[in-house]
Amino acid sequence: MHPRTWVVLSLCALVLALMPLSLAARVVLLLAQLTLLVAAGRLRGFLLFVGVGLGPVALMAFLVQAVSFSGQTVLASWQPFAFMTFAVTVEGMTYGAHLALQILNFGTACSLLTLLTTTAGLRYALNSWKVPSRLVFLLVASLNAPAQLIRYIRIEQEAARARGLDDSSWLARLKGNLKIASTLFTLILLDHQVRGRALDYRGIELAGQRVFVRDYPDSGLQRVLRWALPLCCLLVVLLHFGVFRGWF
Amino acid sequence: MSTQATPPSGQRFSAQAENLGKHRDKNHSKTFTIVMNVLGALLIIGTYIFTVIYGAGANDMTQASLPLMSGYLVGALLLLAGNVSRIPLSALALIPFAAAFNIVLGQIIGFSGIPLYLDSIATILVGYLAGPAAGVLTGVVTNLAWGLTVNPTTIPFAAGAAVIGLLAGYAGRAGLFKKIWTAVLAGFGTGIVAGFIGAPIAAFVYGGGQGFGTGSLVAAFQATGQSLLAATTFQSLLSDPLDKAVAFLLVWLIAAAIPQRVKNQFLTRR
Repeated sequence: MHPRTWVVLSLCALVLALMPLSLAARVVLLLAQLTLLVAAGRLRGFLLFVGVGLGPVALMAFLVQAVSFSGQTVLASWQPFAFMTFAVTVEGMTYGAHLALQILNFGTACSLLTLLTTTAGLRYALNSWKVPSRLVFLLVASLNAPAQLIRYIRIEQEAARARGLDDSSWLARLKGNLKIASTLFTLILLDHQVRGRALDYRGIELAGQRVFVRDYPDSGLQRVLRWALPLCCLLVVLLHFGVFRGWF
Repeated sequence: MSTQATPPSGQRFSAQAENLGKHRDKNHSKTFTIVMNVLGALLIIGTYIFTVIYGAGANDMTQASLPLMSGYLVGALLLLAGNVSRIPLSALALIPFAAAFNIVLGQIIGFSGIPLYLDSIATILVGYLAGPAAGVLTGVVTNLAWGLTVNPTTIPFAAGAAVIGLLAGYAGRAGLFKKIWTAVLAGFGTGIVAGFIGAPIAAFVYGGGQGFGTGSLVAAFQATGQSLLAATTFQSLLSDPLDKAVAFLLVWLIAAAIPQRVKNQFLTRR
């Protein structure tokens, strides 16, 4: 699909993820997003996303509410101190499940954007919407920067090994990595003017539409989808907040 | 494009001759920057007040997730839009790497089990070196990039990160990084503000479950009869001031090791 379609789809999913939906609706939304990821062949990348950040936070949110929410239907309780009562309640577990699904839906919507769109695609989409080029650079370069930084660190580590520096123990490796980090940071600070000059030569400040070497195929259906999805989302939000109450 | 003559190969550009990003092609008015910054700040403050008022009476806090996230994210994006045209291109080129440092360090600290975040060191350093506007941009971009590359749970905290960069910038301007104790105190104060801003997100979006340690604290506070928002606020006020005090202390140490030549480059344009 066209990068603009993925961005719109992801933003709509983000809005829906944060809506106060029923448990069943949240499950359906999660399944719909997962289906998109599976269809695009990015389930493995998503599972990594879940393992690193989403999963533990969702689980913890459920557990915190399951044991400390002040519900009515108490299943078990524990009072370590007179002023502190932990109670597992049905209401707490329900609220915890809502929060856990909200977190998973929110993270999955973000992963739709990052796993299904490349940074080049994101740059294309943002430029075509006439987002200021400085802002586009900032966002896209920041998405690329961690991988670039890790690559520099690996090169430095390899060079340190080639020079025969000790990396036999974790303490030696920690010391070596601290040195590498401080060297890289100083170099980046020293070279920031040169990189700024490079951006200037590339015409970042010039006005006008950018022309990209790679174009992405678009279709009438996708164009309709890019308008219909945000409108549907807006409608759902307005309906929920009672804007149309009394109209029908 | 640049109107300056290209210096001979290998010669560094002097800080005094630097005029990158002074907007030769388009004049961004100062009024635009002020309006965007004021709107962004008002939106963040207004959203915070709304959530506090709402959270006092509500039992199901998922009702406020969308207004809270919209208010904070739009506020952060207004701050981003207001400041992005203000800073020199050289500072703009520095921000992605500063964000990457924050992400890599924050992720390592997160996995290590150390009860701190330390994910704003580069934000504070850029704020100190290049001023509040650059600090704001580094904060927002760090959380957006971190959320979109590794961990989506960081995105909602972009507004808090912007405020950290802003306060670090003003702390640098006020000369608070000259002495170790003023730097630590500035960090402590920044942590209190960041704690208050981050608490509604921790409550309404994450239910207090952002980590084992912090989640346990929130559960304990809730078990004493506190509301979820009060519990996450207490937890934030326990961990954020300490974390930011340590981060400001580390920046004070790093700043002492930065070559004077680099500091001078920033001083001429801050």
